[in-house]
Amino acid sequence: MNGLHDVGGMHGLGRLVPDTGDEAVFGSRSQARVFALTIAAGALGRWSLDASRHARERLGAVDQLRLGYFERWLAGLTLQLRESGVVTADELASGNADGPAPEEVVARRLTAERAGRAVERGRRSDLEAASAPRFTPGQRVRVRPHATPGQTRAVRYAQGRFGEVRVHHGCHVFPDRNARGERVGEHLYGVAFDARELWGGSATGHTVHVDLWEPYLEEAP
Amino acid sequence: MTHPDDHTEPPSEFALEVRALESLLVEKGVIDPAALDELIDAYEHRVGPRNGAHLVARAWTDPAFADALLDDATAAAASVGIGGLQGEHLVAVANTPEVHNLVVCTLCSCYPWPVLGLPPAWYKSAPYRARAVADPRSVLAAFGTHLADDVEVQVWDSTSEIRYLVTPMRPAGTDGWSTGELETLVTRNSMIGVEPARSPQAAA
Repeated sequence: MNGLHDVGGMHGLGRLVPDTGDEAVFGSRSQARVFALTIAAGALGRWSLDASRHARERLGAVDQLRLGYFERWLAGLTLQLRESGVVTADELASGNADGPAPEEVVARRLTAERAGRAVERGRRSDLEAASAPRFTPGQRVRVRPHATPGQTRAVRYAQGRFGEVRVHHGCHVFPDRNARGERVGEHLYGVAFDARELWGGSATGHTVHVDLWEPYLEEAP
Repeated sequence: MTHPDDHTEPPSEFALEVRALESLLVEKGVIDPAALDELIDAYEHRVGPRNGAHLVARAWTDPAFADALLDDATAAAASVGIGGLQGEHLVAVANTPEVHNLVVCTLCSCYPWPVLGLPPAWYKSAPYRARAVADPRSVLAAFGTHLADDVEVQVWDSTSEIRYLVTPMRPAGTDGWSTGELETLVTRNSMIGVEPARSPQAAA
């Protein structure tokens, strides 16, 4: 979706405030709890990482701007818990459980030991490819216009723009479908864009590299 | 964006909401608070930019490791026991006298956790994400970094599960330094690409 999360190149978003590198990892204990709750609830297997990103993106324009970073995480998590039926709207309103979650959900509760392993191991997102890649490094491509209300990683600023495939990263889980619960792979490419192609003639001469899946791309004429 | 600190009394609305949700999920049987403690402890105490600094300093002192890191950063990091969540597919990009690299995630806040820990507030902020791709030199200037005009800037937008690590240039005046000494010069910001590594003078 082309919402307010998709900020590449936007103006008027305020001042950039650098820091020293010495600040705490979390701004507060509540932020730390929201971070950990999001990871632990994700481990229940009811939704994918892409669905979590999409939940935060669906919060609405006003909340996107009004809420702080971990407030958005909390709102996104709450939305996913309710939509997946892990908790009901009534339970969220009252704060009290009407009963335990279904056995198959409780069975996947993340333990401290599994949490430590998840941090150390992660989960790869590359999959076996079902077909040969359509594009090769050095090839000129164009990003298709892609106005979907669903999840996508085809950044707005690159849509319709010409770039050059620099690297084929292999076949990776495709976010647009993974967000809907379909863990299927598509070829993923690193595509380089000249800044002037993206931002016009007054842009400084830099290059922007964007990772784009095959369905986002077409051959440049 | 900034938050009211919820250590203050009374607790903020955010703090109360977080507490209520955790308590509900524990009651539902789907969250174990010990797992939350473990996750927080991991990123507060074990997984952070010292890991990335180790890789960079090692690359500065060991050309074969530098080549391995640029060839397959995931494997090179794994060879020294570094890897995991949000770093399953690592790519290292090297700064040189001709090329300067900068990493951003314009859509959210993707960041190479196993080598840098969790991202700082500015990296997650809309102004950084908006400007890094369109006007990277002004972003660098905000961090006090001014590149010569002929240096080519390469910006990496983390739109997939590939995670990027910048290897800054080794500062002058560090001949004969050990890997451990060099690590102290490799800042988190230098591995995102907003600053060079610290000079020995700045570190003294």
